[in-house]
Amino acid sequence: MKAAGPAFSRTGLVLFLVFFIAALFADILAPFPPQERFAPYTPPDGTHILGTNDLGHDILSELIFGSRVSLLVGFGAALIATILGLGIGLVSGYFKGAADHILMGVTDIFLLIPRIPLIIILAAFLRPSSWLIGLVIGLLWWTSTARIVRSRVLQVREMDFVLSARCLGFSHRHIVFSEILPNIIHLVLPKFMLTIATAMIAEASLSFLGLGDPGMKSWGMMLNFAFQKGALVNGLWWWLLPPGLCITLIVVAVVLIGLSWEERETAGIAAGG
Amino acid sequence: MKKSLRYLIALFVIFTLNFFIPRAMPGDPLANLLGEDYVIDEASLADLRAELGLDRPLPVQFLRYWSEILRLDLGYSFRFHDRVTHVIGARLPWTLLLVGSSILLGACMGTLLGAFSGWSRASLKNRTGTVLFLSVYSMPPFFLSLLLLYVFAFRLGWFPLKGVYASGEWTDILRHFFLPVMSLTLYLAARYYLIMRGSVIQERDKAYVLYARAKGLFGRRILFRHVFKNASLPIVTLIALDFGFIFSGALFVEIVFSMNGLGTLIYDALLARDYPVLQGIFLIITVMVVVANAAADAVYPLIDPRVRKGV
Amino acid sequence: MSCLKIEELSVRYSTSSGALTAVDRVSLDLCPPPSSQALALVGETGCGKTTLALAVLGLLPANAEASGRVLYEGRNLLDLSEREWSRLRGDRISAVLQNPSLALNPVYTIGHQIGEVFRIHRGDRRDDAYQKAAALLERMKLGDVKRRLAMYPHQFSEGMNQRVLIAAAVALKPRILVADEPTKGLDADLKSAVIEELRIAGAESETALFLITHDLDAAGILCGRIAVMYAGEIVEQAEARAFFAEPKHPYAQALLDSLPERGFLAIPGHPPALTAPPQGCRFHPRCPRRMEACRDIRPETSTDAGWEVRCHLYR
Repeated sequence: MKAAGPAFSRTGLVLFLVFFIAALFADILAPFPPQERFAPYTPPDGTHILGTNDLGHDILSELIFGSRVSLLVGFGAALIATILGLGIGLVSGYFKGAADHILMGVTDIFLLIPRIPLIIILAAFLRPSSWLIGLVIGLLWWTSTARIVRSRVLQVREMDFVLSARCLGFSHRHIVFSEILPNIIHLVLPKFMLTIATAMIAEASLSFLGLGDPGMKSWGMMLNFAFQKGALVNGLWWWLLPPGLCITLIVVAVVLIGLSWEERETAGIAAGG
Repeated sequence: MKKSLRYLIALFVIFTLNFFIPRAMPGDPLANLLGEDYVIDEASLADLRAELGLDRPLPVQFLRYWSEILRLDLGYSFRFHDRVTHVIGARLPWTLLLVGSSILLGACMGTLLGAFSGWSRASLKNRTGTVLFLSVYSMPPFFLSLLLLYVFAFRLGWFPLKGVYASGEWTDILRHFFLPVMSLTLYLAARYYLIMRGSVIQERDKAYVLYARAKGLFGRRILFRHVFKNASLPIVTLIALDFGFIFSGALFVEIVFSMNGLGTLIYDALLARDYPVLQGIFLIITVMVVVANAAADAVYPLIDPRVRKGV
Repeated sequence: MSCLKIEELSVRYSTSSGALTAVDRVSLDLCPPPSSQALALVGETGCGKTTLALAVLGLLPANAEASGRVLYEGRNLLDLSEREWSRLRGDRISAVLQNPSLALNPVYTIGHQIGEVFRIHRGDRRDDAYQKAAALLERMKLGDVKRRLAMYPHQFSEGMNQRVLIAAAVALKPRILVADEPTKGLDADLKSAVIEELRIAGAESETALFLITHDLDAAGILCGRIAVMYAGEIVEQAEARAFFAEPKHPYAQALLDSLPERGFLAIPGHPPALTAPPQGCRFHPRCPRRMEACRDIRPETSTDAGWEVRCHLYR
């Protein structure tokens, strides 16, 4: 998407940094340990800026610690997905032929699988945990990355410098790592960012269903409890809104960063090759 | 021809995957097949095992599975005391209503607004619109629903808090459906807004736009007479590809609004560990995704002359 | 008097590498027959020809700034709003632009796109416009007209699309027709067909043809007057036959000598970057007949019986 502008990417970076620092320094920044109990259902006041939940935990502290899980799972899932996608796209695009047909066939099938329902089923059979969710998200979300990597690799492998490397008899491994990879990496990075965004939304949604770790509460899990314990019907907005807003803001941040990288990338391709 | 074969193969693979999941999971295979919400005495258990074919070799079980699928038998749900197909069938229409109307409204809203945004030069209005839609796009659909429910139903009391209908009259159904449809519509509109905007921004630098001006067109007339069709072509296929993702979003919307569709069904089945229902829903959604993709393949040549055969 | 008078037209682009003057104080007259003749603007790629064409049509990009006057029927076209321009373009002032296949919209039929000029400017309904488009194609003798009208641009060759564009451009019998490199990239036989189309257009509809090209043959066939452009300036302007017999400006001479039939001699050096043109005469670094004065003093245009030259040799 063009015309995002430098203001957008700066905002994105700043927002992301805020959450990153919150996650990193949660122990210092959180006013109370998230498991410590106070009077339950207190609205926001001087001590508890965001009030307390049904068990009396300070919501602000839960929120800050929650950033850790949300960030870790989102990032981890996106990492798995991107590496998988990169690998499959590379092999498919570089070797072409039978490998390409098989891998693209697999990709087509994966694209048709309803992902969230599948994760729900798997999580139903196994014990719910944020790591399981992250892993499966990673194993299911690689398809779009694989496709764009493949088309770019198909382009790059026909370029002069690659052809000459092949003529000179360099090994496939060398060509892929030294010639092709550097030329696709800036395509992959924006996609990685955008995958983090979708992974975070997926994790939040699945946690909302109760499939996350009750111990390490991600923001989605906080919302699960809030919804279950009647935060909505009792008007407890301080419990209901902040976790959701945090999810939204961090996804916005990541999307802004991803889109501005993407814009730079397309500009670069237009200018150079 | 080749495409339909691919879809059939994909269906076969996914259905086969569905066969293996309960058998590959830890725990008692009987429980994995029936769900964990049943109470049966010891004697009947053995009979049940035999009846389900758990004592037969795997290939036989596989054939049994397929014969049941082809007879449209998705098993029995102990939680709901009914055949899975009936349970799902009762709820599916509501979900389809939600999904269908949201796709229609969301696609129209998103493509129109996105086209306007992409066509006009940067302005405050443009920026604000994009930031707003970006924020909606970044919200998980369940949270968007929570927000709307909280503000418009709980705080303002304009709409009911749950369900699909109270009295059954169509005005009542409309009131119940308004917020959920709005929720899913906004989510989709945001997505298509961003994509259409990008598409129009790309198209407006193309040679045929300059030539349209040279012929005497100007301003928005060019947008609607020339650019719109070109820019919206990718959206048609996108909607089909998105179908699984849209459907999943609808499930969450239904859960928040306590609607009588597949969303709450999947939630209840999850809590009760009712595997037959969960797997049944998975299979039904898969079939719909494949149908949506096949439909898009069929429709696309009708709108883009460049990919028509023999043309 | 529907003449197009270009007076001291300059076009500046603001780019990331600085300001670029693509057109520098150009003056030209373009009048429709029978009072005047078709004008060809020739020059190398990058000399500013296309920019001039776009300026005359009001189609300059956002980062370009035009100054001077382009007078048509008493108004300076540079002052027109987009809405006023849209009434002139396609109707009184038409254009045939480069890259014909890209100039046509891939998702609409040829008939639809030709008929569009009738729908826009004459308010015709779809069917009438389609009929008129059919009549146009009939005149061009393009074979099975009914079938071709229903086809799409990607099904036609580049040359065919070019002829379709010409048909649309002359459909409403414009006063001025600006053709930017109409024969570029075409095979010899298609070139002749296109040239013929343009010739008929000029003859039948009293249209003043403004041909912008580096194809000197086409210029010679179609146009009664030739103007030579170099580095944003007009360096010579004369009646065609006399010009081809004996051009005056050294650049024009070199240009003709570079033709295959005249010796195929390449001009040494390359055209200057328009961000920093040479001092004095812009051609002097490559000129075989340069003098002392040429290095420092920019030559003025001297006119002699309708023959303009911008060169110190002819003061």
